[in-house]
Amino acid sequence: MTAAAISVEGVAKAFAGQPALAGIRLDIQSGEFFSLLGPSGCGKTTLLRLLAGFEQADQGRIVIAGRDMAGVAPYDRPVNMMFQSYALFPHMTVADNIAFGLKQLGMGKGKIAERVGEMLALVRMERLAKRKPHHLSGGERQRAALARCLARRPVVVLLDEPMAALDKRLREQTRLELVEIQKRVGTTFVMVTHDQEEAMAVSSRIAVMEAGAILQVGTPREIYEFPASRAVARFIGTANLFEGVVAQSSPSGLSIDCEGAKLAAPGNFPVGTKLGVMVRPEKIAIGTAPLPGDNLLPGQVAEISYLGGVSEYRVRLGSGQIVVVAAVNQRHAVTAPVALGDKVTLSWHPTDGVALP
Amino acid sequence: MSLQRFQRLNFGLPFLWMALFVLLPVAILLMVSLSESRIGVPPYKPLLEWAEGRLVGVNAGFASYGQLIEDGTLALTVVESLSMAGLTTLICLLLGWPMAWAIARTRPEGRGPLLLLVMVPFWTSFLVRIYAWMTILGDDGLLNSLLLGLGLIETPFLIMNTDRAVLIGMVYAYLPFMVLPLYAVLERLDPALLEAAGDLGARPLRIFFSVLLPLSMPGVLAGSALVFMPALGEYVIPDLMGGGGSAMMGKMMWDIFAMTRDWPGAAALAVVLLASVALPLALLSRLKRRLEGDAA
Repeated sequence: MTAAAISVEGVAKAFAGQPALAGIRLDIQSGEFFSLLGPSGCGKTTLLRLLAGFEQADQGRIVIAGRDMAGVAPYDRPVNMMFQSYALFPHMTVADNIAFGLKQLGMGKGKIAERVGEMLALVRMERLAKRKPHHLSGGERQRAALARCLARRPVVVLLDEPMAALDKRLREQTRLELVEIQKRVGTTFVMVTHDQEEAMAVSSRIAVMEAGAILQVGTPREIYEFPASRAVARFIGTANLFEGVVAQSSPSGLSIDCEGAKLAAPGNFPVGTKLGVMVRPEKIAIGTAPLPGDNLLPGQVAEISYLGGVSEYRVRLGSGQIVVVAAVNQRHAVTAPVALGDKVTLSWHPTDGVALP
Repeated sequence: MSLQRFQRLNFGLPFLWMALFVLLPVAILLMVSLSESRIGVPPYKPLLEWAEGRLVGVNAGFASYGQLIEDGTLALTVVESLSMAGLTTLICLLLGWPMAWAIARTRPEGRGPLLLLVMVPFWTSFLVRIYAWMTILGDDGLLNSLLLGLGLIETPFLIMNTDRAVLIGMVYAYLPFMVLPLYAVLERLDPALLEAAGDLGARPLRIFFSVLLPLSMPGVLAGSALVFMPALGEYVIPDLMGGGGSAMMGKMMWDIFAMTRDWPGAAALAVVLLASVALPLALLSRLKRRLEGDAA
């Protein structure tokens, strides 16, 4: 295990009496690509600004690279931030922008030029070194801003919605570049984003935030497959929730009364507990023979969205609840295996469900 | 009307306007400045003398300019005007920059009222406000009475009828013209730029000189032009507050024109003033174009 690059201990922050963050605890390991994910107003940007030093915490401690950051000004912190607007200095060339942070360190001219060249090569911008930010495309500006951030060799790079200013196609390409650069330099990256797909694609770990609190921290897979709460399940991907009551509890799992059927799910809750069984759309099979022991629910196909590789079915249960099912279109066929209005049986393996209180 | 003809009209109208209201007066001014002074109506000899439909003589010369140079009036007024206008611009810049910055950094709902306060003086007559300053700065005026009453000074400060009074009056009158363009530039500045500079290790003073000041240059240039140009030709303030000693161009021109009735002399001085305004203006606009060329 590597050392913690950042450790946030019980941090709280309020603006004009309105709490923005409360009881934040977080350890970010050195070399991680860590994402703070949540809807706007959840406090993720405030947390990032606390790390950068633009805001001071009301309570708690922030330790970066083993140093308590209380009262340390932004210009004295071993972190550099990439702003959502990139905040490149419009009156300076790309090279001058990258050199700006180095000049503040009192580095010699030769060393600065050398480091700037290194950074330009890292983001493949050598040919654009003499351009002003106005003459750059969105993606180029982003790379210039990243180079400026990395030039000072900070312990942590903070990224505030780094992809928000780019169009969708560019975003996916940039995403890969960002991960590649992060791997190459090995610096700890902390990114704020509201885009879960983006967070899943680049992060080693994600903290899901809502209303000033961290709901869950985990790898993308952990957060998607094993959400700790209904809020996380709903925020990450699509979640089908079947509400029910625990009828039986045994070491091998739960049996839950739900939708007039008995559903099996892993977990350990006392009998009588009201809970929801969360199943992801792609875990549910439709129109295929169920395996023995699968959970079964009858329903009627209400809507089909053919998306090419995948089809999304909306199936209405007896109770009226709509279940979203995603099925890969494996067969090369003209007709769909399931048609609109068909009566179908939905099935999934008990361990594919997650019981959430 | 075809688009082409419309475009030609579009170009033609401003041109006509310029010809009628700028070029023609300047041409007349030049003509008068080159003619010879005399006693009569008008008090100068016509440039071209006609007799029986034939041109018999041209009475053009640089005598008026020569006269101005010879008696030292020109050097005196140009130096006085340039230094007074320059000083006014500098003081306006030093006062106006922090003012504009403070307004631009206020919460958005607070900016409107503050800007209004900057402009409120324009709601009353300029002359009234200058007279108000005269009563404040006079030997037995508000300021001196206050200082004398408090026992801070023994004899009244001599402010009125000196260059100091002219300077105070001009800074007061032109400050809004510095604040407004500066505000317009500073208000649009992305605050993230300052945070980025801090994040990259720059201390506040460094942020000011490396980021804030360079980025506010368009406002500095525009404000300086708006203050410097009219200050150079200012007449009312030197006349009312500067007493007889002020040698600023506007006042000097009036003295020559109305007191001495030397129209060619006054016109010559006006031409010099025009040139001394146009030169820095051309310089400024070149500087501005360079700045914009950088940004665009």
